[in-house]
Amino acid sequence: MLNIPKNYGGYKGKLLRVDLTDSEITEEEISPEKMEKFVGGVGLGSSILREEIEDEVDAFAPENRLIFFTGPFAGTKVPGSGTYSVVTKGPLTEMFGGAQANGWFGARMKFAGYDGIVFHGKASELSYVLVTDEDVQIKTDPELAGKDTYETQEYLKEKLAMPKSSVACIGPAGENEVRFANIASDGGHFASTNGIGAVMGSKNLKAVVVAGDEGVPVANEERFDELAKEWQKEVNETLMGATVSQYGTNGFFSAAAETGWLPVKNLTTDIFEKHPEFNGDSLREKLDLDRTPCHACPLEHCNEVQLKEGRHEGLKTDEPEYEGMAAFGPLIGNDDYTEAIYLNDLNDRLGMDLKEMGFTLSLILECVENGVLDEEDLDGLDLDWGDIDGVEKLMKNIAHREGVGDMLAEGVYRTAKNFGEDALDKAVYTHEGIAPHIHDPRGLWGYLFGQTISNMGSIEGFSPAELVPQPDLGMDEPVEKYKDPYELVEAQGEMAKKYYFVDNLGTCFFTSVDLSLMTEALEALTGMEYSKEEALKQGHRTMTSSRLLNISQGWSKEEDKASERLLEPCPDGPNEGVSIREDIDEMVDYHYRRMGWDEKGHPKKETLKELGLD
Amino acid sequence: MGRVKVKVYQPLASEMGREKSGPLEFQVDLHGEMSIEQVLSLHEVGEGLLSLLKTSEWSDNIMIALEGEINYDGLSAKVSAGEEIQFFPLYGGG
Repeated sequence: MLNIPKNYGGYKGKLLRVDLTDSEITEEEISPEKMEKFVGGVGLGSSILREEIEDEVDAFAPENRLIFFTGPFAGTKVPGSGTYSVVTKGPLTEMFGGAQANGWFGARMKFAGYDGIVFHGKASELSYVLVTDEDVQIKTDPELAGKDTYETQEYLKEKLAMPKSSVACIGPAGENEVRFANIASDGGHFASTNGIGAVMGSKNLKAVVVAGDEGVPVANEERFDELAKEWQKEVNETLMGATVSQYGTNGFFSAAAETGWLPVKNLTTDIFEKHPEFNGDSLREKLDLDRTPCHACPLEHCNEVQLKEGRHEGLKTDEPEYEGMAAFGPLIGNDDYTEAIYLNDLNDRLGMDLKEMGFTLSLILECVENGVLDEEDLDGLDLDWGDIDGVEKLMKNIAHREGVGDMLAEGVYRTAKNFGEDALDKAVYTHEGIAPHIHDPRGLWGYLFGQTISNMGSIEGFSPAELVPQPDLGMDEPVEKYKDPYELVEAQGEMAKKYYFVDNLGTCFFTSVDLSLMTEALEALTGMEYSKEEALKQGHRTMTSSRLLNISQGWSKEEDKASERLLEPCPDGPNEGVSIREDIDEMVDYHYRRMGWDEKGHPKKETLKELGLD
Repeated sequence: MGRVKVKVYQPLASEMGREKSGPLEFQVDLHGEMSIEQVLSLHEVGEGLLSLLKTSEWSDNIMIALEGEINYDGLSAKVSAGEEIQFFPLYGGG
């Protein structure tokens, strides 16, 4: 193992434990060995989850844990260092759920004095937890019931007179245990994947408020300042940074549409003519903008926007990211950008994951078009592609589990299963039981493969290897599409190791830079020795530890499969006729071999020993 | 003899002087098959684009597509009359 100095930086070394059943609050030290091994975020959080939950525990049982974790960089000068992770056993996959949100919450949790918070048990009444550098309290407030995510944040900040706090909260969907409810913080930032907000709701925990003034210790301040400046400069200088800063993630909307991976009408087509109106350059010209940057972020890509036209003129909301505009635009057959912004805002307020929502809605709309479902199945709603009023009604019914919304609140896989084989063939999901990110991944196999083998519900490797070169991984060029599936597996596997490591750091994906710079900065911050090789090993460790956690919850190889729709050839556009069907099983087997797992996908003994997980 | 259409998306378009939203578009006449680099060098705006693409800031962060197909041969890829060349900012994921 590595050398751990006495005056290590980056961490507070403290874990807060909140037992909501008995209203007990305790503090524990986090051992330096554990920090070194799992770093933070998803890594440290999942290691605690794996130690503490019983095999095959019910995601909604009080015994399940809901764990908030920062990383060593949270609250420091490196760009985008307000990020935090939430881990739990997620109710969609009934396995490991891990998600990140950017903003300020992660930094403020550190300023309050904690690296992580573990919630367990279930409060007898709807509660919130206030965490500051002076005190920790569990409080109840009946006024919180039914408030949406924006209202909850504003209400608590005002009530507590704490404008410089961050509030992580659930909306009505979380209170009603919608299986894909999420957690909002700092306005419209969401930790979203795998129903972590539903777990929060099952604990009767409406919100967590964090604030404080404690600084973050730095082992080598002079060197760390230099590297943080270099990091800021590097983020600013890339075109990716320039695009995100000037146009948000919608700056890539036309690229997705023109190259055939924009999801349109539940993947029944890849053609969407109205994409220029959804692209970031056009959008930002048509909206009033007010920048709302995350902690220490030079990109400042986050904005509050106001609609200047359409039937929702005057609506103020956080600017939707690309996935929100795609989910509530082309995916559901809507070509009016103002309506997409309106539905995205509604979804955010109700507190639901837009991936699961988008693919559930698009499934229903396709089933109606094809006569698989009719008005009787849908509480009298006569739906069609782009029917905003009908979709709005469905979304509200889902959040409140009313009528057919009670079934749709179970997510795309369970909904399709309930409606029968015809619906199941059309549904977009992986066999873990979760919807993928808002793309048509059939034309970008890195996305589809990364989603299929996912341990925590999101894409392993984050980006598709066919698009993004990774010079720090020895990949100066992207992997050519469809040419060599094995090369793609190798690239996506190495990217998965890298981004598991990045997920542990407490920084935003969009501000991540070359691994060598990040590990150098980590060394200067913590005083612990790190190298690029150790970072990749650490990522492999987190991935394998996540796999062990899933196995303990009943995972089998059958889960590493994609739904029938995802195996069908692309219907049109530049990727017409392309299908991963013939290659995917071999790709999964090859990934297992590369990761040191056996043919069933279980880590081998020697792999566990090598990674220190034995 | 035919024409190739070139579309340069933002923010690269604004670097080349386009002040409005939307891509910068121009067309180039060509005979037979030519490389993208040759096509661009036949047009004043294309020459400006070539200079930008040769800076490291842009060369590492641009995605080139031909008729929507992601192109892995960069500026040496061959194009024919009637085709469209597109220049996009590189998408990082999410």
